[in-house]
Amino acid sequence: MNPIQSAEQFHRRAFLCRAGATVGTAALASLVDSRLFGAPAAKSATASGILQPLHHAPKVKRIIQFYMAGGPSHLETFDYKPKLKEMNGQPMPESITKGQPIAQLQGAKLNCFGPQWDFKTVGKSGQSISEIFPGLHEVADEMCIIRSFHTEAINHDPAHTYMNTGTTISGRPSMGSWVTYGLGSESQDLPGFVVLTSTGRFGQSQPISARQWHSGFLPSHHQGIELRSKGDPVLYVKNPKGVTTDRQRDVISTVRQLNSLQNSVVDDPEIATRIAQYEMAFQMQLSVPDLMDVSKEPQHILDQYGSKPGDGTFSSNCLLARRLAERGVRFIQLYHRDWDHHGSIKEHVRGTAAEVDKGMAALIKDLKARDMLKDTLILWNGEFGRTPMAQGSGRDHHMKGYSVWLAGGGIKGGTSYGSTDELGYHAAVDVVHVNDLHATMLHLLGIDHRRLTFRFQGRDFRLTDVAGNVIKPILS
Amino acid sequence: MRIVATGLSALLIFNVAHSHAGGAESELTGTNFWAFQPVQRVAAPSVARKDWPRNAVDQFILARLEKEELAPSPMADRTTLLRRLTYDLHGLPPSPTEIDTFLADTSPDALAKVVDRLLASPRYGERWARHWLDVMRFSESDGYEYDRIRDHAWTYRDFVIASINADKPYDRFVREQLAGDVSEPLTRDALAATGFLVAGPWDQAANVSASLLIKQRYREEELEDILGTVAQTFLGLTVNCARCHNHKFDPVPQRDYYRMRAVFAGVFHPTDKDRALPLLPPADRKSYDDQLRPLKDRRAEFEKRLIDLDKTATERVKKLWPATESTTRKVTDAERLAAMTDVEKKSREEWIAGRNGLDGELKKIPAAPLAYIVAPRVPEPTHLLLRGEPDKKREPVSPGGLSIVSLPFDLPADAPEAQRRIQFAQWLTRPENPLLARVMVNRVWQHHFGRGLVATPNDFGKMGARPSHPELLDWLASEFIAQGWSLKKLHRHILLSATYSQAGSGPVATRATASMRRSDPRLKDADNRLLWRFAPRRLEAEAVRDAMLHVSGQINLQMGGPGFRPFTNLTTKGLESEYVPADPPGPEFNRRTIYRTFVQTARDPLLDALDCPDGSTKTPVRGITTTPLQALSLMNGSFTQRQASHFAVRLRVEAGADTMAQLRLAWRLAFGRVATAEELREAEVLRKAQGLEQVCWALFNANEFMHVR
Repeated sequence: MNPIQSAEQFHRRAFLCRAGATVGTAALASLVDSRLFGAPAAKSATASGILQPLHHAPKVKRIIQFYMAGGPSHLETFDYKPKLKEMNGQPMPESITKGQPIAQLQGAKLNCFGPQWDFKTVGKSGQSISEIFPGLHEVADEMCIIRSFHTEAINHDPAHTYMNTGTTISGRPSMGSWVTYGLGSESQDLPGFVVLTSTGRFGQSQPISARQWHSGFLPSHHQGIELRSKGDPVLYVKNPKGVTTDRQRDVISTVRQLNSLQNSVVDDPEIATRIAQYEMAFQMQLSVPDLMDVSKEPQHILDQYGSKPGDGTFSSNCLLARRLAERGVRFIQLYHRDWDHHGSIKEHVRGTAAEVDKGMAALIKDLKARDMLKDTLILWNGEFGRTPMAQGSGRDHHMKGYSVWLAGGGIKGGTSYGSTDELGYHAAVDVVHVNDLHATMLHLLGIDHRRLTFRFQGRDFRLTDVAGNVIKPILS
Repeated sequence: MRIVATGLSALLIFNVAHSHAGGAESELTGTNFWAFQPVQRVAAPSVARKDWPRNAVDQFILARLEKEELAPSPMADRTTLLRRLTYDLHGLPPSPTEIDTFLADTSPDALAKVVDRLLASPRYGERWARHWLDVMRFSESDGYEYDRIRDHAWTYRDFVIASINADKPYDRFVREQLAGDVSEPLTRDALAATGFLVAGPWDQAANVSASLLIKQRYREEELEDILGTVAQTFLGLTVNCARCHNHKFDPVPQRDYYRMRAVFAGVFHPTDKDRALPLLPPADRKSYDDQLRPLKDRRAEFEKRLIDLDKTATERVKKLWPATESTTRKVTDAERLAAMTDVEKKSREEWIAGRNGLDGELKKIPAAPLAYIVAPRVPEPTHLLLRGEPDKKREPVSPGGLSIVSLPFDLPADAPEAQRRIQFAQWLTRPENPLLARVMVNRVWQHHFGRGLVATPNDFGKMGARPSHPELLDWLASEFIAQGWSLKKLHRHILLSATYSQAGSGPVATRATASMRRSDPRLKDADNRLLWRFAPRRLEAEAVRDAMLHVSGQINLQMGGPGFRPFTNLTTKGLESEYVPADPPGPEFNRRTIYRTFVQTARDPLLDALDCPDGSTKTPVRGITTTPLQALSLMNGSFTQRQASHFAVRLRVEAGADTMAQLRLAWRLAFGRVATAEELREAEVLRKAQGLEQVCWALFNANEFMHVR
């Protein structure tokens, strides 16, 4: 790219930021006027993304990600290895492990550790899924299991960074941010990228840094917003005591005026972002309480998810995910931090699976019943898998081969793709890399991953860096 | 590696070398890497525009700009500059008086006078201490699920503030934190400094675990955290990466990690009974106790006798009362006294006198503040651990320094604990160490310009960024050492530069021919790596909160001592902690934010939304995020609301009944400048409709309030 072209891009970006602010503030005025004073809100065009039009017709509108933090074992969940069972207790062949980086087992005696649970053949399609997921058995025909997945980082935080941003270098935008940057949000009153977290009782619940849903060098309003599952979902989402909406409207309108007077003096895109965030904040005051109020959900739905309102469990978050999806939220991440099973994996993996199984199955069925599954992409993944070698009674971190699955729009349900070697160590057949998964996700959303870029420090960056291939065989 | 980059920007990309293997890998490998070379002081380069530079910093900056055919920005106006400086050094806005004084001062050294005034104020130490606490992950609680509060950890925070205010030479500041408890002179200050070593998390669950292996594992984690903090804070090196194997990118062999581990092998968090140690040399702690105990015992004896006598007398009075009365009223002092014999009365007076006398004596013994500081133990031998596993011991390793810093020091494996840290601290602070000064001047630069010359202040290794101005970095480092490691002199030099005084807006934009565009810095260096302007930036969480208190007139400038705790502690003894944030009003809670007790799980929603880090993570660079949550906190948060009301009251008191005068004063207080006619019109509309409080509320929410430019 020549310098002149890059110059124009810079101007365009600055212009777009300013234009965005103008649209935002205008929307604020109209919102205040209509919603606060009883008139029905005009359903205006949704907030637009940078891609207009999309690169191709999309298959899905939104993504819901079951993010199993801690690193679930593929060997007890979706990748059955009879050979490993056979070799239980015997040394892992050196031909497989030689020169391989291993997180904590490095240098230890590497012995095979057979799968701790049996698998079942389920669904019309005959998917092979561990017995610890009775709920998923019922939706197996929706799922496409990828058994040849691999990543490039072996410890939690860098591996999360890899899964979220396609690199281990911190400071890059997360995938949710890329998606809302490209597509904009369909929601007028909620952020386009929402994060919910839960913990369990069976793993070390390492905290997940908010960096994982950060927007990096993309405009910061594309970052994920975490809704807290206990207490007020969002603090100060209510008007202060004694402040009428009328009064608040006047104050915000003055803030907007003062900001725009200043913005003409100081050319800083971040300042424009702030203006837009006040608009969103204002809208959230109305939408968030409504979102979180599940009291009007029928009992059979609550039963299906197995959640009690406000209990902060993964199941409750699944129900909230459906409500977020209905309200047009583009990217919904549900982190469950309970999968780091270094020890006692047999009991612990079952425990953690039970914490997520019912909610996931319920969400898939619920979306299907509402005819929303067809335009939703469901993604299940950890930041890595776990070693086929024993670490005491558990398994160590493992990045060379593990499983993820997808379901929903554009996905061939009831299928599986790729495989690991016979001991579950290396992804061996039809190998899929994190970048490929990202490319496929973007593809389903109508985006060519090579063409969603952002120029930063002289280089065009993208979610898939310089790699990534759409996994065509799994697409319907 | 495929990188599409244009001209200048390609030179400024960092972190790209490793992203895909191959390419320029070999030339960077090992000890030839720039960061490990001795500091090279070169003369400040000559420049074409002779009238622009004010000092050496400017020559380096301008020479680079000229090389790229770029021009610096015009100078910022004086009100902007004063606000920038005051926030920069104090984290507070300038007062109207300070603005007037500066504007009226036409002397050539007016700016220097302001910088000196700001550096002399204790507000400076409070501001810059926070930057330091970010880097070394200060926290006042244990972390993990139990997260107990460390009631006396604040002594370390006070040590940092006092050291910075006193312009303590940086090398001494470093040595005290590593070995202040075992070095001469043994001062209270130096003891408090060792809070540094134990400011990190402490896992109660692992420490009480029955499993030796879990304890050993955790101990290795704890040491890794300490070593990582020491190496990143002082050397900008991720030595912690070498715990399990040789460092993958930097020349830090695994053996070096264990040499350093041996240095800190005796460093332990205090045990439960020592979480409140008197700030006295260990040898004096006992004699301090010995001094106090007999006095306290005697006082208690007098107290007991007095209470017993009172009881006896009360019984006597009650005996004379009808049974019903004794339940409905209490015995008065006078009645009690009347029921005593003369002998008893005399004894009573003697005892009271005795008690008061002892109180006086106790007061004469200066109370030693209590502190959470290092509790060293006799170190066990250190072994190299294969893959970092505590049960995979290999050959013994004796204490020493990192081999990359080519001034090795070695101690025998059985060297006394104190010697290990003393020698390490001396090794670390030798002026020949190329990293200590570079890393610190880079931190100072970062907080003045929003980004360091090296953009990754905790990582000067291969995975880190390359310096944008390597020669300037070295010049500053050598100057820092030559000036006796004085931070104040370093600030002064940077702040008086023309570079720092540039306007934020940049040169007038040109939109013409291609050749003119090529010299427009907005296009050529949009990211301002070459400092052709002052990059506007948002204030940190603490500065926003402190500024609201300052502007509202409510700020309580009480320095030091135990922090305020704006949260409710619902923790049941022995169980996981639970803290609920609260926002109580009152002077105690109107202290500067640095005095807030920094408990890891007791996060403050306003500070959180403004990217205040949590106490467990090293945060050399703060995030700057803008989210709806931030807007909600600033809009609806009870703190903002309350300060807006106080602000309005202040305006009425100080500006009188004239509403325009109130608004003008509001602008000067909140933004440090005169309001424009247009702004006053806007404000007046709101004031008429909703009242002055709401104008104040709006000002706190304006972009200008939380940005410096």
